[in-house]
Amino acid sequence: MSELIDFAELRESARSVLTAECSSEQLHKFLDDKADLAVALRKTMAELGWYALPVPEAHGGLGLGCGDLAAIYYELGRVCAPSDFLGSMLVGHALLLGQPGALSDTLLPALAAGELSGAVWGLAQALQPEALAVSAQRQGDTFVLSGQLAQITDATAADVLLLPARNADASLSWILLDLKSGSVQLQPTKAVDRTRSFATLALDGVQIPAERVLASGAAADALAAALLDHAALAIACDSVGGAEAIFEKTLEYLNTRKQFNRLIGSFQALKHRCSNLKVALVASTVSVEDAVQAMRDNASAPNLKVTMAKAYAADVYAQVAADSVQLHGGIGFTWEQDCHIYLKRAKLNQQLFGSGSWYRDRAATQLLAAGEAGA
Amino acid sequence: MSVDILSKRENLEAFRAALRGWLEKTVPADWSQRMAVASEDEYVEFQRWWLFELEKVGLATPHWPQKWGGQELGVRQQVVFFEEIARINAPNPTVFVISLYHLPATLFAWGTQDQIDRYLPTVKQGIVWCQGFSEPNAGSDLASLRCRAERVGDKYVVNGQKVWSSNAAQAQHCLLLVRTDLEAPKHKGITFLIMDMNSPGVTVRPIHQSNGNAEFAEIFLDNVEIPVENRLGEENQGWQIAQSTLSAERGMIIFELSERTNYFFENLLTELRKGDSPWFGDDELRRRFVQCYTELQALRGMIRKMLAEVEATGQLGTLPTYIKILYGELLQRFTDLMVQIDGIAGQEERPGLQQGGYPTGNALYDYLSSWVWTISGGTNEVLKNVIAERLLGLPREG
Repeated sequence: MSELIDFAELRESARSVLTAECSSEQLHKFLDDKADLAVALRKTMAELGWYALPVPEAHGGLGLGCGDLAAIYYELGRVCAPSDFLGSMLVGHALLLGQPGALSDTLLPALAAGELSGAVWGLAQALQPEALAVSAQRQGDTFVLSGQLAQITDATAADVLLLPARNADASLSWILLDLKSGSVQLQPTKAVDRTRSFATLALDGVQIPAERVLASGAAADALAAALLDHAALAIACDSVGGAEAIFEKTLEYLNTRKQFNRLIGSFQALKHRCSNLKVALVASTVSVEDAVQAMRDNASAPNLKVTMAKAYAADVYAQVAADSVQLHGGIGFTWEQDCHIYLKRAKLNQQLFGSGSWYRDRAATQLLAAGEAGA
Repeated sequence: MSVDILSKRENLEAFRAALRGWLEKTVPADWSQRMAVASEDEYVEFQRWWLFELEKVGLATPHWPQKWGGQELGVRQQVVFFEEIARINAPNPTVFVISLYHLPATLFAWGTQDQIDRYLPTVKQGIVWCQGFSEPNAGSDLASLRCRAERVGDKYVVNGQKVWSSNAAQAQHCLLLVRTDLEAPKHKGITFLIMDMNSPGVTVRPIHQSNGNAEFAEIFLDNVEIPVENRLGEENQGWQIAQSTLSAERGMIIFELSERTNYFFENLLTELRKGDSPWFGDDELRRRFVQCYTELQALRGMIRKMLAEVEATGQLGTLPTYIKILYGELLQRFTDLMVQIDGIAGQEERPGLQQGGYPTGNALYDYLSSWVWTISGGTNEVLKNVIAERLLGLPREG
């Protein structure tokens, strides 16, 4: 699986495209509601075939695994790109692992062609179905959904929403909701991280055909673990990409700004701060690289390396971004500077798909279980 | 029946199996408990015994070039060697670190054939070497050292004081840095000598450390005479030569320590899986534990990347400095966590195994010893300057 593409080349090409199409200037215009960068990026990425990467060849794609998609996730993070890419990839993943049928036969080619935009909600919550805020009641050959969803990420242009629901027997089902059917209405809300969007959704007895249930019971639990690893890996890569970028910009600033007749980067306190950040950055990058390699080698979910990498990389990103504000001095606190963009993205990464504490507790459980596997 | 490990070196699996079998037969089961309460001299004797056992199977100096009695083991074989050593918690011959690593690195690069013939054999004889570099007023600023050597006929007459010399009390020879030119810029007036520790005028005084040990010592030099033929390289070339000494094999030493630390974690996890470690139910302690484990795995990944670079290019690359900083800081964080877990019972004084480098099970002792890694070998602060200026491109001060 991991021989299908040259990972370094894919990453290099993604970097090149995103550097040109998602510059700091374009991003600032987008944040000020003066440009539809998300739409423009989606068009470019679709034309380049990025949405087709994980789709099986039979449906018009390249059949790559989520470990290979890391090449794109790193680079999206580097430029804080506003994008539906992760949501769409997770929907694709669910279609691939769920019940095959007419739905996946129609939607997978649409995804590959760049004509299906997807979003997800509730990946972490799905691990405790008995406590899920959304329920699904069977009614003949339809299902009735009830519940409230909040902080649905990057769904404003989505055609479909993947969400977990609690069955009557407290088991799990995965639902692929059609957002364009007219029976549901997403209410956009604003995330502080303006490179991402939020929305809420009220499900008040919404009826969906049975084919929209992608998996139930044990199969749904297995899908939950796989989707969570995928999302966690993506956020870990986003974090490393973003941390590297804002760190580079900070070094540049320290080598440019003069006070007291010298470059401020010559002051030891600032040097040591940067060296500390660099050590953390190198270490968290290796942690993520190991997780990416495990996924490319088809490790089964849940994967301990991925769990550890998400918590670690998100925290290091937040630290680097926070220090970047301080190291830029006064202008680090301005809207016009890039620092706050990275800081806000980092803070959301710390919460997306589960918090750092949640992931560390998950890793603890995985560590205890590893012995039983005779590792 | 003689054990043949080296002949299997081309087949890593067979090499590992043969080594593991030999280790299981040879490593005494209770050695660390015995040595924790042994005297300094008994521990040195034990390490000498271990060195001789390794030499019986040709593994005392596996990393040396073949023409000088080594095995020239490749990186992969050395990795297997240290993995197996760590796995069984084999003795760590720390008293021979200078003789096994620093001495040969310096001799191979700068020694004459005569010096190599004279000194190299002492290593396998279990003779202890020490380093005489740092001084009370020359620690991080080593180049400012003042130990004076005056050329008198065919000898140097040396006066001065050295400090922080590991195992100087047991050493027979010393790698000594002295100042031979008072006028030249400080880096250009230093000479590298090999000193016989039994020479008249040499006094050794152990340093009493905060962890209760005295593995380091001061060396006082009062008109000590050192023959000119004991000089390595040219007069005033010492600083350049010392760079070979200081960078000797840092890679494998840290690899071994991180593997030993990893096995410590694995043993801890085995205990945890039995289900009777109440501390694991404490959210803060458990999450700190996971974070330490995460960072240790990241460190191990960095070390393997560095070793892959060594294998491919022969160069260490940029990773060693990051590795050294992370190891010391992580060791301190982790041993502190273990101290918290031990609670007040862990505050009782118990014997500690003198190792200076990885968790041994006596958490408070390990914690107190952790400053060996953040201070010696270049303080982390100096290294952070190096990173900032040489690796991050930030401007020099002034």
